[in-house]
Amino acid sequence: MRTQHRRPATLEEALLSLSAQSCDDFELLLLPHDVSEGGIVEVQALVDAYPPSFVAVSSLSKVVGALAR
Amino acid sequence: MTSARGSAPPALTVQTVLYGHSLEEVRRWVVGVANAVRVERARGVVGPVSLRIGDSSPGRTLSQLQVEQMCEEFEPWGVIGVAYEHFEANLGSAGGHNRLFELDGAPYFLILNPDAMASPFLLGELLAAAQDTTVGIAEARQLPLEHPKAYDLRTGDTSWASGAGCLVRSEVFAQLGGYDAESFFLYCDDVDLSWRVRLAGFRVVLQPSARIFHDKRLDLDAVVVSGEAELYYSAEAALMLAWKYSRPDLVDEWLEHFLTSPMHQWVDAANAFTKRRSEGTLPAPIDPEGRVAQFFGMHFARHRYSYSD
Repeated sequence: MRTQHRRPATLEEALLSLSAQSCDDFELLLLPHDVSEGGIVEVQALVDAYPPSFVAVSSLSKVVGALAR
Repeated sequence: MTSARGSAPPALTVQTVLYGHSLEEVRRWVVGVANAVRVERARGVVGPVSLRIGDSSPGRTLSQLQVEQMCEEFEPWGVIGVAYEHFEANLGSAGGHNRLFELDGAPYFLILNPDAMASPFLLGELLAAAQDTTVGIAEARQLPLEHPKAYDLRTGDTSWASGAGCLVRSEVFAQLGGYDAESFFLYCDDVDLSWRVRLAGFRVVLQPSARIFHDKRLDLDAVVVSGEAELYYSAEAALMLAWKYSRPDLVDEWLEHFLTSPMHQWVDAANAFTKRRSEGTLPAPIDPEGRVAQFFGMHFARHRYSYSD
């Protein structure tokens, strides 16, 4: 999933949908691109609100600058 | 802990009714609800929360030991108790919720389907909507298939609230005698409750920021996948709703439609309805002026779209 600009509600819906899957054999990588420190805190707090088993398979890596294609 | 208004946050009960669900599915439901309790108790927006699980399955889904283990596991998350009752009979959704409900001093209770996963923020968002004392039921928004029924974008007002996930004002539920389980075994019990709540002068609102993931699926024609029981009981419920809300014209129209259908579930439902009508066991019709009841074909609210458009 890729969102642009500030859409925390859309991210929340994506996280809820993933956390509800009957198959939980996956990892979640979140790559906030050129996001402010405040935004990073907001995204991390959103992830941390989910059950610990979901948080355990989620990781967040801040990305700065142009992404290689 | 105090709410934003300075008063103690409200206690809450969350209840669900099982039928043929696996232990894994029940556990996923409990984890979702308990996690929402953990998050919202930490924010101080909800007080003590207890869970009530009713079971209409032929056999017990949970052992006493498993219930005790759940109590122990989720007590640190703020869940003060998990009660489990095996009904020893299939009471249906409406009958099951009526059995579980108690006027225990909590101002609201949450009805949440066992195949629905609560958002971490579900409780706070629904309680925010219900703080308005004119609201009798606050409904959660379903993902991934958002219900197509219309609602007022400004106020949230809607014709009826889905029992898949909704917060109900306890005193109103008690005042109305709960669901009409005699008339609605599996479907439209929520439509009927919503309409009686509105007839009693309360509002029914959708709170779009209160999210649940409801495990519904579409087939290749974008039609919600239905089982045998759903086909039968949804037809029976539609006839019952038209009858109860004083629309004999629709009863006649739909009876003919069902009786001439190639689907035996619809024929059976029409025959069962006709039998009850001849026996005089149907409910007394209400809302003769159509103050709250809405019929758009076999939809009970105006729909914004259909999944197959």
